[in-house]
Amino acid sequence: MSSKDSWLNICAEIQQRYLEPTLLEIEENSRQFWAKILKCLIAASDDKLLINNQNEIRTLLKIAKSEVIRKKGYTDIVGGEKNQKRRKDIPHFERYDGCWFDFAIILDETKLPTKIIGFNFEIRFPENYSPSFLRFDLNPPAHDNEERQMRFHMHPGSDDIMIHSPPMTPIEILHLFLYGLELPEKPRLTNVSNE
Amino acid sequence: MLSILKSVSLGEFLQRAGSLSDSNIWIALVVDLKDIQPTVEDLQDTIEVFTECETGTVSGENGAYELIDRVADATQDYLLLWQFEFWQPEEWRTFDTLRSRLDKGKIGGLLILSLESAYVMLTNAPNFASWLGANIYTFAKDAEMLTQEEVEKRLAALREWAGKSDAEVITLAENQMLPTDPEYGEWLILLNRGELLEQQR
Repeated sequence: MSSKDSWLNICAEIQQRYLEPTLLEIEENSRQFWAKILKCLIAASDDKLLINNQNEIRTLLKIAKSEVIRKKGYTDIVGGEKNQKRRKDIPHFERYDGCWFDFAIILDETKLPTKIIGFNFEIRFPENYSPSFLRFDLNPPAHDNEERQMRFHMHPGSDDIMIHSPPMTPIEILHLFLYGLELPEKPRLTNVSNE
Repeated sequence: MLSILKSVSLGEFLQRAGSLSDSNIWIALVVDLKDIQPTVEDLQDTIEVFTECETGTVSGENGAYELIDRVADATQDYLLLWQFEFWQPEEWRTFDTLRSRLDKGKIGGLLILSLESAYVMLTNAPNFASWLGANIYTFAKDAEMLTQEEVEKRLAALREWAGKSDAEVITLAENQMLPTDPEYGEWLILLNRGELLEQQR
């Protein structure tokens, strides 16, 4: 077995270990899940962690549905406008310290329990901060074996670099964005130049 | 009077309900007749999540006496009262007379009314209407859903990002060749073709 094959096997094992089915199954239906997220965001606004007011939060947090029968189908819960170019003039959630983020979550309600089948959460840090962003992606299930081995991953400041994500739920990632990832007053100087 | 009522969305209502939990405040929500049942379902689902209070529904289909008895016996923290559409003026007058039995200390709730039943209530239950005070709203249904304009804006951003048209994405999905990025899943849902996600597995 080549080294590359070994790595792919390791990837598959890591992914299997992290993506326990229970992680992606939730008790709530999509509208309840939307309400749960709204509650988190409103609480962060009340605590002055988010600079968005409650009206803005309600405008940014929306639902799109693709269903034939009510409550049976696929749902997209979106937080913030689509912003593939990381333009700060596009509406988003913003923390008191200048970090800003948006997200989208795909839910499958065709069968109970509701399943989270995909999402992206991306937080961008203030200008000149390194890394400039951190993104968590859960890709929807696919046939392709190699894709499955890195289905749940994160991008630490580069769209081209991805590593397995720890087994975090969307609500946990949202809490990380709201209450974690604090910017240090004095960043560690690990990249001291040799000059 | 009903034409000047303030409109509230589901999100706004949840915030109000959250701030009023643990109080004997009653709110009336005026909903289109055809939307009453799904609105009751959505409210019951979400109030419980948002307020972390146990929520119950009480039907008015058997008249004011039974409704008031059931409210008095209810053990939940928040109550949704509905099915008032067949109540005649006399039923509302009875309800008005028995209104003190809605005073359950820290338990309040919500009446879900059609426009017609709201009018009959205001005319025939003046004391209860006075208790409601300004807490009577029309319901802005689906305000939490993306508007068609917002859907188009997101689709335009996805088309620009991927350099693909909607038709190309649908063809890729139908041929099980859709890239796995979550953006493509969102794309299919925005096109109301979520069922194609099933074929990618």
